[in-house]
Amino acid sequence: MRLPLSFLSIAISAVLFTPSTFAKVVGTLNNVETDASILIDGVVDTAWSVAPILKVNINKIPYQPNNGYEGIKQTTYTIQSMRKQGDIYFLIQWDDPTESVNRFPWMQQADGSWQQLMNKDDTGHDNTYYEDKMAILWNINLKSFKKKGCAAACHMAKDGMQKGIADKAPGRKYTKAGTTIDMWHWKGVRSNPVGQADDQYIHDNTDPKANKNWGRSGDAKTGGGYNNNVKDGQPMFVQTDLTNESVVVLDAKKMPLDSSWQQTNRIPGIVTAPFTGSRGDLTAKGVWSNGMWTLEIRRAMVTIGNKSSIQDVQFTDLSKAYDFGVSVFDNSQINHVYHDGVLQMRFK
Amino acid sequence: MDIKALNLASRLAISGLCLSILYGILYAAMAISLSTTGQIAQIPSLNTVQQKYAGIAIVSAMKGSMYDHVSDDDYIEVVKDWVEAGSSQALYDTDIAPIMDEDCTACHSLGSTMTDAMTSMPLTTYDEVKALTKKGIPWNKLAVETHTHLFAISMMVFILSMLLSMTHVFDWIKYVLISAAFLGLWGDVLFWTLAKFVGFVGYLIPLTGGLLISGLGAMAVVVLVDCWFRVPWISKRENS
Repeated sequence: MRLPLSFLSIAISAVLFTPSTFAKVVGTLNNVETDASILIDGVVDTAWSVAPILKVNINKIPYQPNNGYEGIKQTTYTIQSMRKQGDIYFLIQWDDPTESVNRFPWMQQADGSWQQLMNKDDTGHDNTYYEDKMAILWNINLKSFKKKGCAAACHMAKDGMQKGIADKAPGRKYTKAGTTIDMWHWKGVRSNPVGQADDQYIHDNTDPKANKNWGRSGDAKTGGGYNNNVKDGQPMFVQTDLTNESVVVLDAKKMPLDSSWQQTNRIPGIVTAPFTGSRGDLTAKGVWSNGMWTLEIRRAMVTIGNKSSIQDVQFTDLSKAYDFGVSVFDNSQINHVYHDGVLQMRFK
Repeated sequence: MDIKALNLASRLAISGLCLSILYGILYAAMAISLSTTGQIAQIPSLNTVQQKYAGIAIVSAMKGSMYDHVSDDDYIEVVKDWVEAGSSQALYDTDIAPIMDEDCTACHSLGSTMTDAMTSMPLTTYDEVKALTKKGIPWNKLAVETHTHLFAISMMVFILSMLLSMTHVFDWIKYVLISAAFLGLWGDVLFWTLAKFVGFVGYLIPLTGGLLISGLGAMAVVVLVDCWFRVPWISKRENS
């Protein structure tokens, strides 16, 4: 007779008296070992079929540019991971309806002069002539990252002030004193054409005089990298096989622009070469097709270098969980789609 | 009067009402979860519920719905100590503002354009934070929630009670469910106010809330079933 009421009472009691779960782990990526061949080419090899898929719905953005933002505000992101002979591999895919690899290009005008296209918002950042990007943040030793994920390093400005300093950027990344976060920053224009992701890290600097990017820096490098293709208000370099669709000028092929150039009326805004040293630790290749980026990344599980312990996450202990967070930039300099909470990778 | 004796249209309408109430109860549970834990379907602990109604507002939020955004549990104690020590401006500047800056103001500021921006509740100044150092639900919110609960839910309980009275279930079950729903409703809203003055009362709110929801849910189920079938176990026999 009293069965329905009893059921309700039990259910409601369970709801009201069971303790909360305090961890905010929003997904777990299981890394598996493989012997199969994996090419870093942005094409999904059959080897990936055995790697568990972690699906993440990323749906937050940090700010609204005042001159409009046409990028994605939500996307489905999947990530898989394997390890093989001392290297760790990732396959990442996310939906993005447009391929954006047109970062500050130079366009020739009717009078023969060159104009660099840009459309910066009131914070000095572009969301029109930019590039698609993807970032993974790996916690190294920031306690709050375990709970808040990437948000632990994200500090939004209030009334144009950051840490008591006038700053028009909507937010800055930095950590607590003595802590660092590894940042893998794949860039569709500046790093992808040379088969890399930019290996960076986040640290505790809050003095823009010491570093204009506050707590965000590239790892130590011995050479290579990207530069703006500009000199005296016009493009500086071209290359012999340049087309109007070229994404960058490759440093290895660059040659000075001269006034007789007629091969293209568009010249990329970036000259790039592969990083060497710790900043070049990440081999990566992304391919956009049918509204989706497919990106593969490879890195040594343990990196070497005199600052690798503070700049790079080291996958030395296969029994522990590694905290990370992900975000996607859709043709945007700093606006990005991110998720709350933290992801974890475990080795199986 | 007998529900089963009503015409088909009436019984359809009654069934629709019962199903709507049961569906609404699910979302009421979601609202409770969101307001206490910040999650759509996370089970709040007894302490979390008590904190919401009897604790210091900002501390309750840090322990409850905003907990995922608090970098360090120690921060909650620092804020609690500050409030209990009188919420001075000097301590705010040295101890509290950095915590707000680290964990709160990215969303809780007038100019925030983040996806989860809470521009209506900025926490960027001493006065803004101090306004949240009172215990329990703020009076303005309490006044609105109490009268809307009493007006709206009492009507719902009354209609279900009248329908229940027309069913074939045992009379004593009708008395229990009707009393439970009204006692739960009155207890709930009364304890919201009392908890501001007597902290322990906050622990009773889940019980009164449970009583109300149990009563409502059970009445809706019984009425719904009795519209079309004989409710098993608790119905009078045909000749009784």
